[in-house]
Amino acid sequence: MIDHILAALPLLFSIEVMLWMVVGTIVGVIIGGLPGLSTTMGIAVLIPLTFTMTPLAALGMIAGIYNGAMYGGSIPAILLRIPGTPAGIATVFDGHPMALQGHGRQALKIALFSSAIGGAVSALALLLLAPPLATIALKFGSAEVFWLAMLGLTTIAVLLSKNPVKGLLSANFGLIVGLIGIDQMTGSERFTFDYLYLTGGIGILVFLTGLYAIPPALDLAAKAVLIKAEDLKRGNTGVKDPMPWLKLLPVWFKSSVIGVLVGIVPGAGGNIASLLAWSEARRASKQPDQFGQGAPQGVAAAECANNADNASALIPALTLGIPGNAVAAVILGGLLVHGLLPGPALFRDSAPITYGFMLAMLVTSGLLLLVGLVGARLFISVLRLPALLLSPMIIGMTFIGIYSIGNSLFDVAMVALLGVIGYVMEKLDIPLAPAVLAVILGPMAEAELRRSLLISRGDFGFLFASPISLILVSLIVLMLLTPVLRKHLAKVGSKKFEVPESLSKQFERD
Amino acid sequence: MGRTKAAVELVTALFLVIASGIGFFVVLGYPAASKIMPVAIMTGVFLLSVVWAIQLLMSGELRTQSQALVDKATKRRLGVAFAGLALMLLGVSTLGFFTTYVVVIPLMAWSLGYRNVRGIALGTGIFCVALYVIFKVILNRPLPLEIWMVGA
Repeated sequence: MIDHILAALPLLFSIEVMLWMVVGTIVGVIIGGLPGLSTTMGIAVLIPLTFTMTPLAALGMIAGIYNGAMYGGSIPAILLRIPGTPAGIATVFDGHPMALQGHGRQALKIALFSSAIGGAVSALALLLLAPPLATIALKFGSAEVFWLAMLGLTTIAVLLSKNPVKGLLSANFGLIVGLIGIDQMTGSERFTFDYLYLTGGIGILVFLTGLYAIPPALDLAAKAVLIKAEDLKRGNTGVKDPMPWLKLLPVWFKSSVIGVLVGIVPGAGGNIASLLAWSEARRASKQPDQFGQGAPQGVAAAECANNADNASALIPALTLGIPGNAVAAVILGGLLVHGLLPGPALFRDSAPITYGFMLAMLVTSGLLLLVGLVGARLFISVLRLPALLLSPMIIGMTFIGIYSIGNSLFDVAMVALLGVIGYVMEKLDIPLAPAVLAVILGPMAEAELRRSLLISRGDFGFLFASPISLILVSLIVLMLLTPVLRKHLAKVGSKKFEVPESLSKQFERD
Repeated sequence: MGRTKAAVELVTALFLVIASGIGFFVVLGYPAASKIMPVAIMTGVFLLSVVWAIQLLMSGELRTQSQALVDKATKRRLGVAFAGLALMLLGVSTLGFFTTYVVVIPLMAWSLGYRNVRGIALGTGIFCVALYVIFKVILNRPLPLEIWMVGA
């Protein structure tokens, strides 16, 4: 592992990669800071721009966007009481009261340091845990890989939706899209409806940008968020507030661990990590009553945990091809665009780039600190950008980006169509991530299934022959039973986790 | 009053039941080696859609839900957004990217209710220049000719 890290370092610290990491971090903070824009959208819109870059420069920029956006979400959460990203919800609890009390600048500074620390711990966890896990996964045969893909799909489909039926339907939608085109094995067309343009299939990038970039743009237009200039002034108040380092250290330690652990669990996201960390910080505090009233530890816990979730969510994504959240699913798409097939083989076949990407997650956490301190005022003023003007711009940016890759207006039309489908799916609470994952895993699962059947001469029993296969099948069954277990656990645990009543009302919709 | 979420979900579920039912017979015609996954998927979609429809019918939401999925004000803005999306799509294939953006972005922003003329003009201008610099100057990507450049 050390050899691979040493081999990746010169690539990572080249001028090109460093420059794109800085750009990615700045863009990430801006995207995260704008209410209505998500990390997934930011990466999806910008992946086309990375097409001409070297793979590591592209992945470095994506790492910057990922880490930057998580911190960026805290800016409107603190100043406006609007979480820029779903993971910023817990930041509102104490961040906004701090801003109202005249400590806006301190709250933003705590959020910045907490985000950077959480991100760095998470990147270290990724570097330490991913390679050994990949070594184990490399020993899997075709039947095991098939079940692993099925487990990934089931996990995301079941855990990312309140109604697993919707999650599974989303996964099936992705599977169908993944099969569109000419079957490489038999040469027959599938789901093409004799339409020439579809014989080549729908590119992962077209699918990603359609589903993730257009719906937020439509939503921005529909919701028309208005921001008052006086709210933004709160970011410059409390100039001489000292940082309560000693109070924050234990919070950072605990919240990092919580964030990393939550990130590894597929289906759980930064919002869960930050809520759990905030709750734990309040439980451990000697003055729990201050939480929800402007406790600096509350901001630290939430922001540290939601960034500590970032890189660790990539552990199952990079090693097994199973993304821990929607952003990881989009990043897997980004890897595919650059010819890197997610899964354990990444660590064997593309070690310098894979290790370089993991290190980029660490470096961009540090860059976040630098960028956040230098550009604090700029990032606050970004909130002045009018949503109603941003909406058509995002659509325009997406169209030109996707055209620039394939020189195909058909791709542009597909993006628009998929955008409308994605918007309807979101309105009906059908999660998008299972569809994206299915497009990635579907063809792989089919290839492994065919390989297994070829090896066994058509005997389906071969799929259940090894102990690992049986364990994976058992996990799939367990996952399908999760909704029943979840209902039961919800009854038991509902009293254990409490959010201040005034705050919970505001976020009931989320 | 618009349709409730439950009603829209039921229509979607029924549409999927019919589409996957038809799709099932279509994929049965694929060569043996090509149809394993498609048949499994179509069966899955059919069963899941049936379960979804049954869930909705049994939950009582169709009767109890009264709030429209999209309210009146949102519906108007959403209509503008969809129209803008379609216009942009039509425009880029006929007028070229930049000409379309210069026309559609201000039109869309104004129709959505943004009334700062200076902001619209400045924003659109900066956006178009930035896109030109990124895609033509830095990335050197081939883009279709603008309509006013054809034959020039």
